[in-house]
Amino acid sequence: MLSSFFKRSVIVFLVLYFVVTITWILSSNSIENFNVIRSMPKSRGVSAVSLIDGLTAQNFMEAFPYEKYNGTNLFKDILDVKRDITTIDSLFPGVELAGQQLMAEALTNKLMPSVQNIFKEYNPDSLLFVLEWAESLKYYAVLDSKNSIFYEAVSDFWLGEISKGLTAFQHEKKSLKNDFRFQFLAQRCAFQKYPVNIKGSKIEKFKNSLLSGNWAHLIKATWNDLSLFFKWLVLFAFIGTFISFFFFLRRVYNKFKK
Amino acid sequence: MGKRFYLVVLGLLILLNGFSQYDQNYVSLTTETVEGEIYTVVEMTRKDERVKVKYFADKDQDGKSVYQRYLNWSKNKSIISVCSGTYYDGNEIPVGICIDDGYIVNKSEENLMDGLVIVYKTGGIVASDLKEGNLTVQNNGVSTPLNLRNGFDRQKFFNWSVSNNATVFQTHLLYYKNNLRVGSNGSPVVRERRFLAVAKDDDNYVRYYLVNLPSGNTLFNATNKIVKLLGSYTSNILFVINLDTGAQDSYQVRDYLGRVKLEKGFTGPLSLDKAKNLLVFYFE
Repeated sequence: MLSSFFKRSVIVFLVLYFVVTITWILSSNSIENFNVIRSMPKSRGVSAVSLIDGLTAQNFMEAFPYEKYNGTNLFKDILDVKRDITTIDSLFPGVELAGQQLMAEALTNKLMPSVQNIFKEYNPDSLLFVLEWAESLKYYAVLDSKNSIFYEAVSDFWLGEISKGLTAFQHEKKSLKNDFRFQFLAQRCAFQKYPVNIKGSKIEKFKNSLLSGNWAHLIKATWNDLSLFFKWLVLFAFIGTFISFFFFLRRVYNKFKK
Repeated sequence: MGKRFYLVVLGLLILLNGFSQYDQNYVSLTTETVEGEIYTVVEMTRKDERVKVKYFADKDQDGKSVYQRYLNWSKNKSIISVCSGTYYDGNEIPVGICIDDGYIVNKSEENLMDGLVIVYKTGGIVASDLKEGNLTVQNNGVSTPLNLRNGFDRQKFFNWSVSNNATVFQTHLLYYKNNLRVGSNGSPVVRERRFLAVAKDDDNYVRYYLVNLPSGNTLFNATNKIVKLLGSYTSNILFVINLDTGAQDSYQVRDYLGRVKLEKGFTGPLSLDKAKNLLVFYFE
């Protein structure tokens, strides 16, 4: 009777445990910090025309209200930006590439403070969002050759930041390189010539040196990495082996002598 | 008899000179021992622009290895020295901005390395400080200043590199404009060290110094030691950059007859075929 009650209790506990675990796994695997992307509104945002009062050919790069321009509409629709480049160019015809320079500044250095959280904590979905936006600019550079330097400059900035961000995340947590999403992002960066500097653990380095027969480096690097205690330990082990070998040879020699 | 003897000796000397790979007036190899540590110095002058530099940054687009590329290229060249260049990552890709003969390998800047090194088609090598943002490139004889912190200038730089078949790599800038740039917080790993120092002599000619320190030192200590050592060679060091002696510690120096020098300090533990990139000094 007691045994049957015990069995039932165990089964109930296991079922509950199973349900709680599955719920926890599912909830933890939901898309992380998706709010970062959600907070990027899809509205068309402010156009540069409404913000150019008081700007001159001499001060427009410094005096332009970048914060207002970027507002909450972060990674902008490229057609809007193209329209703004034309507007700025028509305002300052004497300044070479005025529109492209201003928009490039607005969408790189001046935009960075608003989105820097993406690069503070590993969040693959947000990084993918920025990556896809930056990649799309590369194609615009081919299609709109007149403004190609603008597209290339903005794309270069963000792809570089993503690559550096992924590098920093992986150096902080080495096992991240085994994460599928990390690998996916790293491969896309590498394809665009922004490879992520992936660091292996010491064991991996050891294994690679071993497989490539890089003995000189292997011995040197292992010796350099050893603490003083282990260096002494290796020394004692070596002396111990040598002495044992000496006595063994002497014994063999004496045996044959007899 | 006497006349014949002198003619034979003269003939031998001419023959020997014909076999020599480089003129010793332009290159000298020195070994020095300071406080028990061996230093080897390969000193080369750019006078008459006969000593040149070539850098193989990565395997080519067909996947041909750096060593194979070097072998093909060096067939008719008088090699002075070959060594590994900058660092590479776990995927065997050069770390930091890297362009190989106009082909872009890596556009991602490595923040921890200030030195951007450009190897020109003409065989010259220059380094600039990325933090200063005042890189100057020659475009059809016109000097163009570029700040690589600016996105626009970065694009102009990449476009210039491609159209001029430039070779570019990033590394640690250890000494620049008479200032030591590495602090005591530099790499604490005690290991063999190798540096390239570029200086100007009293006649305003550029001189290259390839300094090898085979005994174990931290980056900070080694830099201090070689800057002190170079004080007896030159009073005007333009810059010192670090060369990788990690997992691709390859180094080879040849004497004026083209023979590989095997003395301590003139060789690296790894054969050249293991190197992921190669910095070559040659004579033309």
